[in-house]
Amino acid sequence: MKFKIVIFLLLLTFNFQLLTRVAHAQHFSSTDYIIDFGNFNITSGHKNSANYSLTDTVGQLAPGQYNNTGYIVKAGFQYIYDLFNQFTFSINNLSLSLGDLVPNIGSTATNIISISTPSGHGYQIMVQQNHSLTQGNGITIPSTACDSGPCTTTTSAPWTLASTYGFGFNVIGINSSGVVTGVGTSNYFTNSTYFRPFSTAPISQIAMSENNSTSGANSLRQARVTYKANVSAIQAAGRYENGIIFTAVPKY
Amino acid sequence: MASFNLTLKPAQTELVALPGSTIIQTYDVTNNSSESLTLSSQVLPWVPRGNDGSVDYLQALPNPHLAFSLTNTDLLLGQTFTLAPGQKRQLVLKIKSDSTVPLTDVYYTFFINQTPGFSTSSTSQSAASGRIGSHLLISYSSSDTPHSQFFLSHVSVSPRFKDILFPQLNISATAENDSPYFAKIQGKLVVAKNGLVIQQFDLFPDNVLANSPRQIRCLSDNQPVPCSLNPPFWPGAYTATLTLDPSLNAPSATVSFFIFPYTLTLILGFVLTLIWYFSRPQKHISSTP
Repeated sequence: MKFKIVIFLLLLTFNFQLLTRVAHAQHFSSTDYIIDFGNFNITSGHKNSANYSLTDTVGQLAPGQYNNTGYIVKAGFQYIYDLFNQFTFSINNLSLSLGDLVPNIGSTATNIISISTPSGHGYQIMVQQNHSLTQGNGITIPSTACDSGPCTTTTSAPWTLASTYGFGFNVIGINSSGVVTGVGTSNYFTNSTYFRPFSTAPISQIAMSENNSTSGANSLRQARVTYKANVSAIQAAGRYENGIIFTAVPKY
Repeated sequence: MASFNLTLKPAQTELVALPGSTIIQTYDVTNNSSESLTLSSQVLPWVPRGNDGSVDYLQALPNPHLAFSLTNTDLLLGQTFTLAPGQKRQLVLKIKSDSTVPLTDVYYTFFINQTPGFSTSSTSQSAASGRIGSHLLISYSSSDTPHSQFFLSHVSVSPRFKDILFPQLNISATAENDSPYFAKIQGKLVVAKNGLVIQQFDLFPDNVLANSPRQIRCLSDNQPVPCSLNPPFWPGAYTATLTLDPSLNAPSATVSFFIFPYTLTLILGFVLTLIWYFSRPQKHISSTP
């Protein structure tokens, strides 16, 4: 009887050691790489319902904090928390044609900027020009000083006179129907007759901003940007061009 | 008509890291435009500006203890890449700090910049281009819960003359962070009269960055709203007390104010004056030779 038990145990051991195949479920390889997972994440990411929002990582073996001299391991928790909400910025028209510049007749072009930010978080939209409107031979159209005031890169002023020359811009908040609301822009431009010259300093001149979006995640804000150039009779004729860069960031 | 329409996710990342550690952060960039966009990535430092969450890039200097790079096998930081219409691409940013990085916060923005196209117009024009950024708020600390030290200032109730009928009362305050680490505002605003709580607000969890202030906002339906009280009010003495979470180590702040029926008093006074004027005895002047 004892002999039979011993034989049984030996056969069991033999079967386990030699016939059991190693599972490669967490080992991936190709001709170019090998990936070994310490464990499988069963699920992870961002889930939400009408009343809850959850971020999770499921499947971590032995979750918890492990300390030793010189290091700490935090396993199974999301220790880097990022705000999963997204941020969208758009410009509907990148080619702003001012046409042929006729002395004492202002030329304008417009486009629409739109921004959508995470709920409760505001935004800043900054603008800059790479250089003044310039011809190929280096002749420039100077920045506008507006009718009186003068206007600067930080202070807008009215520009309505045909005898006021230069290049500048206006930003006015609008709704989705194009109706002027002034939202996000009234602190910088009183109305559509107020202009400023562009700054060449990078990411500094604020064109539009709000402290928080209205209720609802990722609510949309829009503004109409008007670019205006007016030249005097002594301005050299020709084609002038420059680049305008819009930078959009959330408020922290 | 060429356009720019880009989505960047996440909008902001906040974390605590040990000196000498390496941080990996992934970004999803989606081109929502109807044409291909040529883009590049860039990381720039910033400092807080004002007390409303604004940022300033001109005053910021890069931290020499940090090194930024992309771990994408086919893309370097600053290198251009193209996204087709509707295409999404993941960029993986690596932030490596050396062991001597100062124990304090660093603030950066990960930018996706559009490379402007070439103009073919024969007339004068400006060529617009877009850039979108996601903020990184990193606290380099030897502890995973850096110590915060806040205090409340500029607590006030407006307008100056507070009537029982109107207008809305606005309570404003500033949370100032005296520590080298950012933290979120957590706390309550309690308005009381004669010791009884009239209204209570939770404060909106805005970030207050290292050694900087932030205007306090209240929380309503998960949205930031001004801290305000709507009329009508009972006349009398009130208090508004701001209390922050103990983890912020901030003493509470209380402001007292008085609500008086100014409007009713003026109306009543005017009516009484009219009544007195029309009911006073008339003087009779008699002329006798």
